[in-house]
Amino acid sequence: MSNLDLMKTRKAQPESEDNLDVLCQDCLEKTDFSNRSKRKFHHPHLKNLNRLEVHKSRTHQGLLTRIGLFCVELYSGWLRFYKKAHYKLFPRRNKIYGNPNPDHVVTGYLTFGSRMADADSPIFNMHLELWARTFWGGYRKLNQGTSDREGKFSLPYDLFYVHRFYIRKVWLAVYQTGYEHFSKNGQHAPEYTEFKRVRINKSDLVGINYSCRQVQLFYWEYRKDTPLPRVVIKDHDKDAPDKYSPGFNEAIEKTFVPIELIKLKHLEMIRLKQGLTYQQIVKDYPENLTVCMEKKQPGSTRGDDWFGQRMMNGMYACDFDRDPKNPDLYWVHHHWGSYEKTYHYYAMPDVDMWFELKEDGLPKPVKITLTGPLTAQEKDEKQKRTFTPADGEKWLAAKRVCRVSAGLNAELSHHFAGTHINSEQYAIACSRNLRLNPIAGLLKSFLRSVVLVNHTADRILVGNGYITSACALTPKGIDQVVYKTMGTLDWKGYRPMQPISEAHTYAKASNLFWDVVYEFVSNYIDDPDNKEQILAHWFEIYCFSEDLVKHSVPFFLCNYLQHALLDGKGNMKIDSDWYKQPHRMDLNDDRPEVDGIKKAVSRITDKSAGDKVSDEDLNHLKQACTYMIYQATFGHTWSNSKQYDDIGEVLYCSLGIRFGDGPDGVMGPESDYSIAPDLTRSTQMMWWSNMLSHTGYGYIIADEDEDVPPALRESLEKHRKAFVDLDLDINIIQSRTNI
Amino acid sequence: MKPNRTPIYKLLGTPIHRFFGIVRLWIYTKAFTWALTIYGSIIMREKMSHNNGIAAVGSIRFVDNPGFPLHPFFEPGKTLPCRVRHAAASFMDDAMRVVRSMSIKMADTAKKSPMDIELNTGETALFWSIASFFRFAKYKKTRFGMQYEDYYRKYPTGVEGAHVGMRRDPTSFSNLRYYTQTPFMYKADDNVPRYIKYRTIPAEDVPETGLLDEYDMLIPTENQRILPGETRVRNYLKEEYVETLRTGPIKYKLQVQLHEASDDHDAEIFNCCRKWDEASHPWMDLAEITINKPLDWAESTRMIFTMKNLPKGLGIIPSYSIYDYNSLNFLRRHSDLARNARVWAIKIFGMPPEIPDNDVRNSNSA
Repeated sequence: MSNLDLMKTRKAQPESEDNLDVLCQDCLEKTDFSNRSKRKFHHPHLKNLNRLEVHKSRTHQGLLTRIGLFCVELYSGWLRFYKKAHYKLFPRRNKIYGNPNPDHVVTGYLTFGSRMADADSPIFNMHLELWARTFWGGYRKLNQGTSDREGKFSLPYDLFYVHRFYIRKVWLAVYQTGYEHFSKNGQHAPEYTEFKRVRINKSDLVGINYSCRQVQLFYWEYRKDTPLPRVVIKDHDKDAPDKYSPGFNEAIEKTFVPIELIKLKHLEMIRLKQGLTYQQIVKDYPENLTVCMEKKQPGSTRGDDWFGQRMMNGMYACDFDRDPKNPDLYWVHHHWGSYEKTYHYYAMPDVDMWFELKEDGLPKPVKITLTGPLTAQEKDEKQKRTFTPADGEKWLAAKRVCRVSAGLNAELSHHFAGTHINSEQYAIACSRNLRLNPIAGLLKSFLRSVVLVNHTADRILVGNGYITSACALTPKGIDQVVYKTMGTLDWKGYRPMQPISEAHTYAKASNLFWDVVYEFVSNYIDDPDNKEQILAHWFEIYCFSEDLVKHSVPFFLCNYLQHALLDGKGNMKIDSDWYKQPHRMDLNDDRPEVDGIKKAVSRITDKSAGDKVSDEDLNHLKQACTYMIYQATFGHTWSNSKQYDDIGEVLYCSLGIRFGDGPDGVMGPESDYSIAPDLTRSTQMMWWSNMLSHTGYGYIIADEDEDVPPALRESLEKHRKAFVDLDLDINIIQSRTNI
Repeated sequence: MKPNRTPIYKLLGTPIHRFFGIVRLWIYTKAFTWALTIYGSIIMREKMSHNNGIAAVGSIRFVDNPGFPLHPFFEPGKTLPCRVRHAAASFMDDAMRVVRSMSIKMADTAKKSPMDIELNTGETALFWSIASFFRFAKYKKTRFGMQYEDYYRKYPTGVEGAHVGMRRDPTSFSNLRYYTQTPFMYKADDNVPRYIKYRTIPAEDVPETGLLDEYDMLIPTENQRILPGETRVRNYLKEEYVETLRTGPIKYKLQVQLHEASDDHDAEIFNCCRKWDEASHPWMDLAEITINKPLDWAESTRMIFTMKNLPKGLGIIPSYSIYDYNSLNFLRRHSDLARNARVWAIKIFGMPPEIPDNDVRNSNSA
């Protein structure tokens, strides 16, 4: 039976649980991305992730382009060789030349930003070096130091050494502390990379005090054009505060160019009207989990058991609360009604799903309520329609709407807001403030690259990117979703979702991972050497915390929950235990206020000096660090890597669903292709889910860049078996949010 | 056993560096002097700065009991004729915010004298070596009463010196305090080498005027313009000085600070941008100066003050490079060619015009 036939005749087949598990495992192994085709020699080049476009990515193809690119690559190779040779020929020895005289100094002060913004924020603990170069190319370090709390620096130098005839030029180099690299015994060493060079005219160094005045660094600036805590990136490739590791770009090119070629082929077929079909699209892309399962057992993925299982343990990983009106049922709600939408093509009803737990602990849907228009003709946004398994075809259609809603919710709220943007706010505050404190070594490698990938996502995913064109949300509506989701996220008191049953493997795996990370973080902070340094540089933690709170979005709680959970004094009601709280913000906690606005993110500490730090402050630090690492790694991995499993088949699930041409609107059968995303959106969605799920680079265990703390890897290895029992291979847990 | 000897290249290092430093110092000094001679003295017929001044004549009498080891030249009770010249640096406008100066010549002549002393307002200077002075000159860029903007940006010490030395609208040249800032040699009768700094203060204890107030401190240092609504005329200080002399003599005290030299002293003791601690280096009276009669513009302009006019044992301190703090006095001592050339140029081409009392304000020319 062909795939086409399968889809046309698809009906939910009754399936046995054991059979479903075996089938799922078989297909997971079969669809493992390591079996996929890789870029071949004749394929186009892809420079980096930022060259990707939803329509046609900026790859290099065509004979002339390829020849040109070959020349450019040749030149780049020569430059790399030249740099290496240059480094060998003219090593920068870590030796101070001359006898620095404290009476002759180069001074100045470092601040963030430009004249217009942030210019009064000092950059403290920044590493600085004063360098000279001889006429024959040798480097001479004249002195080094760090900026103080006011950003001021003073570097003594040897006046008479500087004016030796062979000294050709002098400069002040400002270094940013890069990602920590760990040796085999776990010792970390900061990597300094030159961030800015201030040329000093040699003849201007005449002794006493040469002032570089205010050295403004365009360094991890907060954007002013969005209420979200986002970093300014002027030019992704040339002027960004962060950069991908070279291995990442190579991995992206290797794994992704074949996928890009499929999309290009489809777009060309659509343009030339060559009869591209949904089945062709699904067939051309690498097989995903649901397609594989359907081939082996038609209808297995449209059944209620599979539906419940994926809602609980799939990419969707929904929040299961008890139904306040019927504690025997679990309730999942997706709210879209408050966000700006256009109802021209796409339906976007609010979704309520009720589940009961089966004996094996997996949820089974019993009722679905959709609120809002289901056909293009309807205008009433409050109209509710409830469906149950007794509704036959309509029940299948309702589940499809739920999958689409859950897919979009996972993509936007869990994935993009909850891990990408959430991690970015910590990455910015971390890079702006943590330099000498060992916490920098703990966090930076996990928070690497996230600002770059978010910058790309601004263009191709949200804003005027894919999601806007593939669902009813407008760019403003997407911003609203992200903004309000961010308003519900806080490190304080967070724990992953608590399992509601033995079969809740997602919750169990996430709790196990949390425990592993918390133990690792605690050991790291409690290490006597680290603790001494953490306390010595506690001011960095204080500024880190203040930056976080200051730039955090306002705290948000929807109207429904305000009434359902809070009493008149703003405290949680006693009878609110139906609401699963641990993985959500603690509503009894006082929110920090900035300019009278309650912020979402809590302060880690209110003490600026290490000698006043209490155990509570240290516990807050452990909790916050665990949260950051968890969200950037496991949290992101779950919502990201399972995308191809759950939104890798157009008719099974997409990020938007159209009203269609039929009288029932979105409640029509799968065989009504007018409901599914159009062909362009369909191939783009497959492209998306392939790209996001299969980076092939940046894993904790693989540790490609040697920047993952060995203790964390060892600890994870010890729990490998426990994770396998929860259907999670720790090899796929990413070490950063890089895609 | 490894011999405990200093490698020969290290032993030779200091004399070699010193030799090249002196050569460079000499070349820079001569080059600067020639440039100044040709452009400033011959073409412009101007001093390098301090053109806006007035001279007067009187006498100097060394005090009877100075209380410190004396150089033979400072014989107690000795009286010499003397001239002083007060001036404002750079600009031809007394109402501008500028450094004021006093030059003392211990003879009633235009050039020759046993001793000349040049002093400025402010205990610390705006530059501290030939190298820094060249930067100072390079970044002058005078326009509309503003100058040295880049210099002040790069050198906070220059800003401090300007704040200490600049005076805004003093009531008289005679109530200001003037300092040599740079130290000189001092070999007294006891043959103990010492360094000396000079200053003059009013003979009577009158408050110093023209010190920069909080408002002036807020104005960028490079802005030396007159304040808006200024009513004082361009020559008001010179006119006031002449007027005061008509009513009676003006008296100053010449005071000194001494520092005993030692082999291991810190080079910072020569730094003219740092004060000597008054507790350990108290100011002591050396002489009283009494000025009776002003000199006219022509005589005042013809005068030359030079560091060659210093008695033996009171000369400049040797310097070994252009970065040496003592190199400033080396430059002053070796730039007489420019001074003489200016006087010859005046003789040949005529006297530069006197500063008119017109409305051309904030100007650096007559």
